[in-house]
Amino acid sequence: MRVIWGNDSLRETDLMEKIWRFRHDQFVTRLGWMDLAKEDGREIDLFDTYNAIHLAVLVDDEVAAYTRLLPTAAPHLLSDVYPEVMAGRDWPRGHTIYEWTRCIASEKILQRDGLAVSSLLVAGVMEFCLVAGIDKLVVETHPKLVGQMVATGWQTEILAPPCLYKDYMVVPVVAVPSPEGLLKLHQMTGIGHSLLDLSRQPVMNPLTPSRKLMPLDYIAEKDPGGEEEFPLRFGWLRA
Amino acid sequence: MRSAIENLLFDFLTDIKTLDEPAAIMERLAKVAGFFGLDSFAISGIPLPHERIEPYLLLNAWPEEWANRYMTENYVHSDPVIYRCKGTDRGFVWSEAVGDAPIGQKARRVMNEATEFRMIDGFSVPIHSPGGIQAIVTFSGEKVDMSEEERAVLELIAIYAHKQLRDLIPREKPDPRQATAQITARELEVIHWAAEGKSNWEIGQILARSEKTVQHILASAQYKLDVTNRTQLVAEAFRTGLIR
Repeated sequence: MRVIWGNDSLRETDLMEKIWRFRHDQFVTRLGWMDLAKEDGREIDLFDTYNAIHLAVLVDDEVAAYTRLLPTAAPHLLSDVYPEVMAGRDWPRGHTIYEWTRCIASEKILQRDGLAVSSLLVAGVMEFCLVAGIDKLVVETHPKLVGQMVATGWQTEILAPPCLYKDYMVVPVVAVPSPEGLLKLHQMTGIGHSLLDLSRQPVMNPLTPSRKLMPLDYIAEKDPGGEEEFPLRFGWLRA
Repeated sequence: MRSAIENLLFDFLTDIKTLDEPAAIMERLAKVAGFFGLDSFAISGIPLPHERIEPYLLLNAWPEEWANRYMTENYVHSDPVIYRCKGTDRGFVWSEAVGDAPIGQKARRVMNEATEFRMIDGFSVPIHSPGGIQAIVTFSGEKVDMSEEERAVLELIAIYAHKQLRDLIPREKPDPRQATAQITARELEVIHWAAEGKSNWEIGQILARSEKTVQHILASAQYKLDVTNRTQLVAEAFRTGLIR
């Protein structure tokens, strides 16, 4: 999974172009969210600033799944687009809390190396949070996806009752990543290694921009290259 | 002002975390079902085509006679509600989702017989995991008269009730030989220093890693060896011969 934010989004023009078009194809053309429609076919909004974190799963250089994390210390969807879904309640905000938005997997490219791209995306998001030091994600989503988060190792907390927003049922939820959760997620989806592409070029940590993102020590790298003494498989864990 | 439905949801979410027996969860869910005018409910895993439902049934608040008949007659494999659950990932009202669909004779019989027990309509929630359908949480009564928001609330309640129930089932102890084989060299190194009585900060200094990283590595090792604290981890590492 590629991680792009800050100046990298200015340098990686080819990839960002693919991301804007993928978002338009998915959210506008496929899901029919017409208020995001753009004449040039590139779905970009006010929140795609320097601080937005773009996470993309690529298959043969094409975007197969994508999501975006927004800092809650700056304007985000819950603060500026639909605060009413909170029904007057507060939600967690702060330097280590991000809002999880625009999460989608392609309906055309379903797998990479035999693993579902949607699973790779979600597991990649959790791994990224642990690597970067994000302790909470605020998500506004359909109740059924709360069930999937609960089943796949996220600790969750409902923030406000579900409500209809523009004909979509949404419920605001906090999702907490953890090493145990990541292992569970890996086991359930058959992933046995790190998903973050941090070796091609250094990616700086959005929370502490002077430091590079470093892989988690307890997850095997994609190609262990003999460093791991033992194979990493989680087959013994129960779902 | 908080609405009744809002209180129902948040009171349930607060309570459910503290309930550690199926009977208590059943009693708590009965209160929720009653709020919506539904009087029977059940939570069950989905058996494979050649299997029976009994070992999958996690919670059963059906009328006794119906529960007996459902199991004796092996109705689970003809039940159109179960069938429908396999094909959707959202909660649904029976009369809307399977009401008009052409169904087989046996499926029709299941639905008809259920009405004898005042299970005329219902609301069912499929619980999915990445591997596919995991379970169904189902409520039923004489009629289902719920707004979109109320359905979403009951769907969330179903999700958390199922999760709590699943967490109560003791996890099978992993085979220790297999479990120790999952421990990575890095984890072994950290366990070794923890056994020497070093703190996370000290281990971090020795291995040139951050305290937080050490904490994560230990948490991962604990998870793999199925223990919950540092002392147990060290004991288990000695017991299984990981360290000597």
